[in-house]
Amino acid sequence: MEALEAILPGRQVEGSSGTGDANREAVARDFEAQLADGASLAFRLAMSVLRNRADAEDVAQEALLRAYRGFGKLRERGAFRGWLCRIAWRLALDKQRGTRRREKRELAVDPAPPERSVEQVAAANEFERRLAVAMDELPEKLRQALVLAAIQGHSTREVAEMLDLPEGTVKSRVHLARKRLTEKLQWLAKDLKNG
Amino acid sequence: MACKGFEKRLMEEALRTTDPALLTHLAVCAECRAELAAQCELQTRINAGIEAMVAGEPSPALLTRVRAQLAAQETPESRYWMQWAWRVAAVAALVGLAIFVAERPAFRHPSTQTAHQSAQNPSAPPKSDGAPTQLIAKAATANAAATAPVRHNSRANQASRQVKVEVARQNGKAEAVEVSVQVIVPAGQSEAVARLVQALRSGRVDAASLVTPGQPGDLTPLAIAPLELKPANRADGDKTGGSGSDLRNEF
Repeated sequence: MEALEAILPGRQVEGSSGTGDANREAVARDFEAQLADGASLAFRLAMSVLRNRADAEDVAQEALLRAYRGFGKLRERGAFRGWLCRIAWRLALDKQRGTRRREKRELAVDPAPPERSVEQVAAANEFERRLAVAMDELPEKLRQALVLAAIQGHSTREVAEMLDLPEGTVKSRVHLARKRLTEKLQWLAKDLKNG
Repeated sequence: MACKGFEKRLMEEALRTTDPALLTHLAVCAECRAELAAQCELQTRINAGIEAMVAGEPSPALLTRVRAQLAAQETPESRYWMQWAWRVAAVAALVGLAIFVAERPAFRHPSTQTAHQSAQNPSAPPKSDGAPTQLIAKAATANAAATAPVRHNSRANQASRQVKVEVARQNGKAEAVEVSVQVIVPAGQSEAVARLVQALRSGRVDAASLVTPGQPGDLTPLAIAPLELKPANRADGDKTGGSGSDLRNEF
């Protein structure tokens, strides 16, 4: 198992297979088994917040490292996804705040950007931009439930397990989030109806 | 425009809520059907937008980077013990440093240090002799006589406390003799004297290089010519007309 050996370099020394080593190997093996799936989950969550591939990968990497540090203390391995999800979400929000602060500083120094032409606005996909803005304006609880439900087709029960919430609460949050998004994007419905 | 009363319910239908009354109305109202179609299209686009937002897989380089960093780290269990190991090592280092500093010669008491050196090598002359200290005491006494009264604060006491020194007899034999020197410190110079005494104690300063030994006869009193004061003779002044020039000549 190459990946396991990569995590434990030089650990498999002959004659040193004590209880501690065995435990460490078991922890590393368990973590390795969850690593690929966890990386995808953390990355997608970060993408939903940051919408930047490089930043999302940075966040996912940091979340996985933090998760590994506490993985030995995690009693229930099944709770790993929810735990990783919370770490990644928190890190992504922190990074988003940092990015916004930086952008604000840069805008304060730099004069206003030039007006965009109609063609440029159309090319930038107005709907996606407005959807992103509407998502950002959602309360954190609603947004988290909505994003988790959208990732990998998670069911309400899976989201409830990840967030450690009752299923009914998750269902209600997802519904409320969709409703608010719909209200904010009604301009598109009018456009669609008018042809 | 959707029919009044159904507008909100159309949006909810698009959000997958079922309403028999709405379905009945839709069967007869084309306007509401169009509205429902628009709302459903909106929902479809929203769902697609959210899915696009969270779609995509991380690059394979992410897993490689994570594995490399994990390999550089300790395992979770060993990390817990390593924290304690680091703390114990830090305390041990501090204790060791304290012992090392306490054992340094500069931090020992001068008398202990010199006694230790004398015991190790009795034939060798001690580093400091008594003459410079005595000279300092003499100079300080001379200065003190001409300056303001001595302050009796703690610094002055510290500076004027008895300094134990070891002196070598002139016959060359190293014999420990305690000499008590009373240093009287002029006002405002107690701190400087305290530093000098500390430097002499630690051996960092050679007292002989600071003070030039002098003979007792070197200090000659300042000669001041005596003045003769005579009372002004007012009668003479009256005779001469009392001019000021005469008075100046008298003196």
